[in-house]
Amino acid sequence: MKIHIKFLATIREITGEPEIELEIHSGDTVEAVMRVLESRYGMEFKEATTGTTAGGIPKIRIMVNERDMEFLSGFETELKAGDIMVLIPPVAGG
Amino acid sequence: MLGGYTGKILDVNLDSGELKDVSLDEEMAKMYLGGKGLGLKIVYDSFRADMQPFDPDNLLVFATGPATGQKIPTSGRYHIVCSKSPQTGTVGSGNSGGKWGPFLKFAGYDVVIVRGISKEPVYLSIVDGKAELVPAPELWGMTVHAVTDELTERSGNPKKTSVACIGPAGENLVPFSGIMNDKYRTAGRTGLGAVMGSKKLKAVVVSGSRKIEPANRELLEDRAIESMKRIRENPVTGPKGGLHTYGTAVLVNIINESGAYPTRNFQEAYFPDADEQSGETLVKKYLTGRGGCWGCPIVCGRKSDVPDGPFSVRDTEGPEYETLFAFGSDCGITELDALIKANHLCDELGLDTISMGGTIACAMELVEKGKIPPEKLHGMNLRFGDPSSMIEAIWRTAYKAGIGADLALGSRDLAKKYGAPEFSMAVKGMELPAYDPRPIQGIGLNYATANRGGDHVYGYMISPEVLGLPLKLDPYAVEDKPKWTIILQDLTSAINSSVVCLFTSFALGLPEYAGMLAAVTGFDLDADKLLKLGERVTNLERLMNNMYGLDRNEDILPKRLTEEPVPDGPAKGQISHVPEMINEYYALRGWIDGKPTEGKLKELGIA
Repeated sequence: MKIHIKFLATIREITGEPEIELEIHSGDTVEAVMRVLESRYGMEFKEATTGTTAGGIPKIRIMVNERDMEFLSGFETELKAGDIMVLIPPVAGG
Repeated sequence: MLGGYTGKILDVNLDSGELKDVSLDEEMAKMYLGGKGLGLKIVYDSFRADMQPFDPDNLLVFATGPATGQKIPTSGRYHIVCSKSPQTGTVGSGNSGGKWGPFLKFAGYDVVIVRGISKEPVYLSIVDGKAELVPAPELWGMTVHAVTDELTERSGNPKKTSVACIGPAGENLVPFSGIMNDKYRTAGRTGLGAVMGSKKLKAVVVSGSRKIEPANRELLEDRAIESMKRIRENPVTGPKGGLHTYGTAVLVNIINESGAYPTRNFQEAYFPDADEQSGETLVKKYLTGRGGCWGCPIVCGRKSDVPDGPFSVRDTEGPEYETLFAFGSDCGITELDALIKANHLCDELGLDTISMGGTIACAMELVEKGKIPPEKLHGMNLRFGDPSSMIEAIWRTAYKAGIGADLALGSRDLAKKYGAPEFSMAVKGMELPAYDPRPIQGIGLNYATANRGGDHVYGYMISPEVLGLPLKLDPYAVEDKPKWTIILQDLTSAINSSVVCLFTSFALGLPEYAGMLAAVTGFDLDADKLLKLGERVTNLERLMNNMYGLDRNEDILPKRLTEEPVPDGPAKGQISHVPEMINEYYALRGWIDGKPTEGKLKELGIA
């Protein structure tokens, strides 16, 4: 089954593409998809999406079907066909 | 002399032409600090409940704060207050960056109060402590860039001169015209430009070289260095951070993917083509450089260029996120080059981009639903998705030409005139900003309760609810939202009274602000006292609105947002729950039906 992944801001610069379709298996979680993306885009992607910044802010925020995964099941959130996952680095505006 | 202040207020009477220096009251400075707080207190001291927006005694107050012009990050800002807004009927209020604020202090003044109405167009010149009113009939009618260039050239000292002015929209009393400084910076909201226009004051030119001593220079340097370090290390505000790299436009995709990017006059909340007008696309296609306000390490300003095509415009600045939404998704328009052109036009004519876009979007819906008959449009094809008619609507509004005279009413009175008031997406007559409140509960409560009307930066709940800063709050939940809305509103009142940029709040907290302000002023300030000061400012503003007759009946969102669920997209089915939150908000505030109690006013030292 396929899900849709969108990359925003600096993450997009690393992936070199704004969005992709990804084939996943039934029961795959956000965590599993992140591992697939790390192997696809390499160390720079892994460093940009793992852990927190100097101020303690998580380096990546992940939304699944418009909901921050923290209000779902975090990295354990299970994905299903047609889901949209969005990867957002720490940004803000006004 | 107080640290961080010049100690002088310039009082300008345009009726008599008299200019006089007034000493800054030390107690007033301790209670209200500067900027918004001090401006409101000055207005309050000569308050009249039956004031009309274009009365001569509607005061226009340009106010810096103790931080302005100091070696404090982002201290290039100032605040403008007027007694009564022509747009909202509330107290008027706007904040701007650039370099005008610090340059006013270098010219020798903390505050300029403008009262009266001049018989002929004038501009005010303040150079090294010497102020004069200069007759300027030849400047009346000029656009913002033209008058800025002209007065900068006349100064003979362009690098040390800054011009705040109005464009044709302010001259023509458009109720959502702004006061522009340094060409591209705007005190945009509540129609301050129209108040300035009613006074026949075209511009205020400031220049000087005075240095203002802080109370404790060494301590200030230590604390400013610490704050600077936090800003630079923060992934949002740092040199490689999102704000510097993409500008505020970085929010387009994020808010759209949150299902909260208002589309076609808030009929929808997801715009399929949003990426084509995003910060990422702006960088790729039109960005030529970045620029910042005086003393700012964040540098979020955009320099842009559209070299060819029907919407070409050379070497301009912007646009900001709010502008992209207002002329883009809200009008159903995708083309980024048209949005850059629209932004440029508003800067030239002196218009608030949020209210202008919101009013055009409202008009487009009125046309779509058959409320504005075709003969009123004189050939204009004012429909969602049509960029050239959107651009035509802007200049028509500034000059009140044809249908522009109706657009210049703003969406509230426009929709009322054509028998469909429910199509105005405004609070207290001010058009809503770029976040649909149906899937973000706290920002809706903030819009409803903000003293100046539909205002996202009154208490920027987007920060915790969408961006996860400084903590994550579930945007769909109502629990705790009244408490957080109040904290952010009062924090913002304190920041706008300091005056520094709200964007520093992504990296700094109350302890850092209070520490720097205490070092500048010598006042006994800590985090709690500063937040209390912010609460005092919010309450004083609310008190004046109450005296104008506003109460809980005006603390409401348009029905569409509380009764019509988001029809499609990620946030499908969501509505705003402001009615469920507002009583708790009032209770926590110590207000009854939208009015501060006597006890609350006494506690804050207002009554």
